[in-house]
Amino acid sequence: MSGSSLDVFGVAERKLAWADQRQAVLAQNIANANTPGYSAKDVTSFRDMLLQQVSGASEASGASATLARGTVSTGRSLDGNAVVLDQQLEKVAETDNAHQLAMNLFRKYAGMWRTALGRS
Amino acid sequence: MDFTSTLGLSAKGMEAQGERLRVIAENLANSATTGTSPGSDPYRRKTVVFADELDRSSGTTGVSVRQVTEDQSAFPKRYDPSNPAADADGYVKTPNVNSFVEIMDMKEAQRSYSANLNVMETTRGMMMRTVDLLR
Repeated sequence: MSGSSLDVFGVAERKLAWADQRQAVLAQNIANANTPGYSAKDVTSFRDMLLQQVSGASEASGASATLARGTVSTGRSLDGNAVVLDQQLEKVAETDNAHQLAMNLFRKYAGMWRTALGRS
Repeated sequence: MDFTSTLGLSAKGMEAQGERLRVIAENLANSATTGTSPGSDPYRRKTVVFADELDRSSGTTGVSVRQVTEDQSAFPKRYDPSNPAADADGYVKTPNVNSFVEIMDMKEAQRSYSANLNVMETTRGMMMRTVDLLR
């Protein structure tokens, strides 16, 4: 349904998939907030992921955010755990916003299509 | 990975923190439990050890309580000759439970629990928004 050169639905869908995946990784971090020796993980940023997909030939694999291990350079607690709860929660809120944004974009664009089709 | 696995992860986290809270309650409840025979050991403080646990079907790493260990630190002694657990010199071994440490542990468990709950609520909101697209 990509009528214009800008594939809004495709991008919005990828962003939703990305938010979904990131949320799972963040839930993992928070669940392991007291596990000895555990380091927080995160997915690659949406921008980087999109650039990879545009340039790389791995288009067929779809939205695949790769895990970037232990990128957070904060201190570890005595049991070797490196999850900062506030930081993770902030990321959760950020992901929630990203999801909402993509969803609104999707909805607005679908509304425009509906208007164009004369169904208000 | 999808929203249901995210909810599962948070649920596992909450379960683990709940288990931790149970052990803390056990420690606090037994903070004055001495032995019964002369010179015997009193209640020994317990601690939980968490471990990350890979779920191969979804590729996510959940959390579980690997084991409940016992704190091997020395028991404090109190002079109380009338106590049935007193040794020949009149000293009673008391549990190695420090209520301040337990309370701090409890606060941390509570904080982790609410963090998991928060993720669950956010995920639920995201799910709902997706479902709303059908309307």
